[in-house]
Amino acid sequence: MKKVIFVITVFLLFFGCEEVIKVELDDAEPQIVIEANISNIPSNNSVIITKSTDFYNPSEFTDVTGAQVTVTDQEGNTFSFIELSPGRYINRDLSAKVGSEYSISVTTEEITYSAKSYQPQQMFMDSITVTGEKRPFSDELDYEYHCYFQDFPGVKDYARFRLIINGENQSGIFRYDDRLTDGNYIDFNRFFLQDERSISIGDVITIEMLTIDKATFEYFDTLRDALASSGGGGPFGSTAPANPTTNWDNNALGYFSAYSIDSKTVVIK
Amino acid sequence: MRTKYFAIILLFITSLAFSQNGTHTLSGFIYDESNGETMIGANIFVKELSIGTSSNVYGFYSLTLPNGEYTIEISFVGYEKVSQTVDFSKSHKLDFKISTTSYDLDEIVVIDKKADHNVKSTEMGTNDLIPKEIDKIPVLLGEKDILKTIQLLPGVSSAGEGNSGFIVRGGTADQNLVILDEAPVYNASHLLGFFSVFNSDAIKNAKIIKGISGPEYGGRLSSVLDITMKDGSNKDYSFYGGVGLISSRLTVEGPILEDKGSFIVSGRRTYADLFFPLFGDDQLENSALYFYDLNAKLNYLISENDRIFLSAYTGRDVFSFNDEFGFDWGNTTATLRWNHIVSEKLFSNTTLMYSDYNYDINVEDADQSTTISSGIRDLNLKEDLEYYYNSDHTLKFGLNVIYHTFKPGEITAEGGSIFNSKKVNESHALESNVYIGHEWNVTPILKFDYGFRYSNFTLIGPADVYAFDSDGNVTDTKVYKSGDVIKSYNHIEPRFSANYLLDETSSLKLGYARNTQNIHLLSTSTTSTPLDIWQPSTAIIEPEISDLVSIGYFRNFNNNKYAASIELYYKDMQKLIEYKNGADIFLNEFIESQLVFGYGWSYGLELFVEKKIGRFTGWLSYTLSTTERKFDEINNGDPFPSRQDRTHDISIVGMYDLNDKWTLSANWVYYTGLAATYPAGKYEIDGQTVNYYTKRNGQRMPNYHRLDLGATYFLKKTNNQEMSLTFSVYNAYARENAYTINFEESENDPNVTQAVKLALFSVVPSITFNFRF
Repeated sequence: MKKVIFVITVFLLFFGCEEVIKVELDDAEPQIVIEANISNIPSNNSVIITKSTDFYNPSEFTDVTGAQVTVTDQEGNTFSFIELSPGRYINRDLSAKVGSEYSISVTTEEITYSAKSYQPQQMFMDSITVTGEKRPFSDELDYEYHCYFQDFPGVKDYARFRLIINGENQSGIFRYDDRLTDGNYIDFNRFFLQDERSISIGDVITIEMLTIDKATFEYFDTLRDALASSGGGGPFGSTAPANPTTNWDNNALGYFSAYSIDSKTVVIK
Repeated sequence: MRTKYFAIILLFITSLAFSQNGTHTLSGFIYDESNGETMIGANIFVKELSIGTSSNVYGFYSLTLPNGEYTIEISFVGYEKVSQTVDFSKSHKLDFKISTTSYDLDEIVVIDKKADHNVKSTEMGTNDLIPKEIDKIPVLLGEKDILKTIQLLPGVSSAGEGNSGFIVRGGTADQNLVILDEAPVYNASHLLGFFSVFNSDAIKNAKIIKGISGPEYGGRLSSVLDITMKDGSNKDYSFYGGVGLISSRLTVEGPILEDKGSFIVSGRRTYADLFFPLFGDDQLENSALYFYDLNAKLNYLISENDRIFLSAYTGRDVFSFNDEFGFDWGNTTATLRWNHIVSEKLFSNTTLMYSDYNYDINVEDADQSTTISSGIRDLNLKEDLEYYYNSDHTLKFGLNVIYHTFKPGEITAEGGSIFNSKKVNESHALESNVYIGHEWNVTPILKFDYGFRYSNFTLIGPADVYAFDSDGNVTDTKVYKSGDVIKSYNHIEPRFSANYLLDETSSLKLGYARNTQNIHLLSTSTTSTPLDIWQPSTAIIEPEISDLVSIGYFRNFNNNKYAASIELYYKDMQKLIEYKNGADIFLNEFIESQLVFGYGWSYGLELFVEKKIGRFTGWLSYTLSTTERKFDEINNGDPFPSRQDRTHDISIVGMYDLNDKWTLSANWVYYTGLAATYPAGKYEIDGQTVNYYTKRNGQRMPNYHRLDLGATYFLKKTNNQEMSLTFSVYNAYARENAYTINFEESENDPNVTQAVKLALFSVVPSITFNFRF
């Protein structure tokens, strides 16, 4: 698929050209953004609360401090989050249990935002590999990152991935659902990076697989068109981008996700 | 409601009670003398009575007059007028042959149709085009394109740069019924929308009706683009074509038996991929990128009263990369028609047609292969009758039955493919229509053209039908067996237009039409990708309905040298369909859960001025309009402009015959930019910057304007042979019109986000060599 997009883009660029222009934009009021994650591993529990800014401002986002953040499980146990650094709230006690539904409530500037997420059954990767293929028109290699895992038959599985090269988290939204592949053994390789990079011997590649619930998957699926880094649009892009489908109420941006995490690392030889 | 219709039919029958004794009928066909092609819409005028009629789409006419002798004049713009005295003491058959005017620099006529047809007919919001006109207009990469030409007319706009899909009066691209020799063409574009499937060398006539059509048409809300292929010369063989930068074409036509039958075969192919080996890349050498069209038609006069036609079209776009990835789509249509003259007053046409549109995507490597396919197939039987009662009354009636098979998607996975073979079940539907229409010359200055179309759409099994909750989860599945009725819809579509002749050169027209649409094209992106799905109406998806009302003033100047009109319209659309945010459309058997429904409206003013005769010809078209939509789930339920809402739309087209060697042409277009959704802020998620959106389609892309120039140099031009070179420049002043505007991080500084405009075309020159033998 990547190759197709490449060839079509080349064809279009034969004639087309890009130019930075200034367009008049509306400036909305700063909006609350809450990125809340809880996991089976407590060190991953984090709630980041920031505000949006005008499009032409520098990409520096105000941290929201002094918010009350509480997560409640099905039995009614509550877990309070403490502010570790401005805008970043953590909890070291909560370990999300498979099959449980969690509710979160965030209060700031006298408004309370709430959401729900459930912890899904975890999928595990068997292995990961990196392959290189010759790119059309050049001698350079296109790298593909593969991870292999078994999808649970009869269960709706959703996952998102993180690709970390030499400790640097690579930009991109990599997500998976099993609508067309239920119960199969999967070779997931759709790691389309914004900036292609080359791999050298000695590089450490880590892939993290986060098994997530449906609402979180839908958030990341719809996030794609809104990303400023992907330059969303073009011939196959959406003509009517919209804010991602969120599980927050009260117009908060962001998401609340309970997830399980698995991680695999290879070193390039 | 029903009593109202009975009353109207009764009224009509009583008006016929003034039975005409002592009248006789003259009927027959109008032909082009040089090649035997039938003339569509030729004028047959009775000098002594100042009344007339015109030939139908098969060239047939029927004229009933009281006993006596009359001078009958046959005229058609671009042809010599033929005058003949005819005795009407008994009914008889008479065919007329007319010839093109001899080459005369000062009176070169380019545009088709009876000279004052626009003033005298009840047709509103209609334009006729012939290829001679289209030929002269410079278009993208030298390809002459009917779809691009109609976008230069008022009320018709393009769906976007480089896209051959079109929008009529605030509708959507799937609301246009595009028919080729009566067969529907589901995807009229090649190469992601840059070219249309119509090879204008094979086309006789193209007519665009912007919403108020006679009751014989139906099935789409916004317009009908009715394209008639040439029949082929039944006198001599000729072949013609062209070799161009992007593609080449060849047409061969000739008689089967002189004066009895003829054929025409026309083909076109692009060859961008023949250049691939030059790039010296192995992967590219095994790749393909081309499209082709093939049109063929046979017709034969079996008897004096019977003629049969067999036409076929097939076309395909093929894209494949290194034998690993392939993408192809196309239409195939076949039509069998039988014209039968039942009596001198009754003309019948019976049509049987087949239409298939499908696409395939293939991904293959050493150990696995996956094929995804989807499409729609139609089998259609149609009967149309025209009853020319007398010079004041013509009746048309008929029926149309279509059996649709929808194939929304299928995956065939082999080897180690990670996909499961899956098929979203085929659906079947029966779309039946019955219509009746009456063209009535009430007085010499008042004409009515009205009718009713009854339409039934029935979705039939076998099928699994799902019910959903508000989250899109399936709550119930009902299984239907083959032939079971799942859902049925009935509609009555009234059509009406009136022409009031103010004086010899001007008229006032009024029209109303209701249209319903039972099948819908679900698509998400700007270009016409083949991933769009044709979806039938179901228990959840209701047929779309539109009501259109329009009023116009038509005036000709300078002895019909100039034609002008101004039309105002208002269109109301109900049960419109949009995807919900983040909809999952690909191979989704629960597609109905991904849709939301709403309504819309459009209104506008269309101004059109045309110079039809002389060395310099051309037109000016201006449309001022607004189109909005309203859906509860979109834009917080507030009305929002449709993407292609265009406040101003101007087209100026000019063609000039400089001398017998050179012809020049130019067109300039200007329109308000597409409605777009721009961010109103930004924020951070997972370390990445995300755009924040507020109003859907709340902003405008920059205004679009462009000048195209063309020149044709005739190397040789005789009666039998022609050779010419056409030069064209698309976007002559190289304006980089925005194709999309993306809001993204700067490459130099990720802390900065900016608007980046992608323009598709700068200047695009081209040369085509054309020949005719």
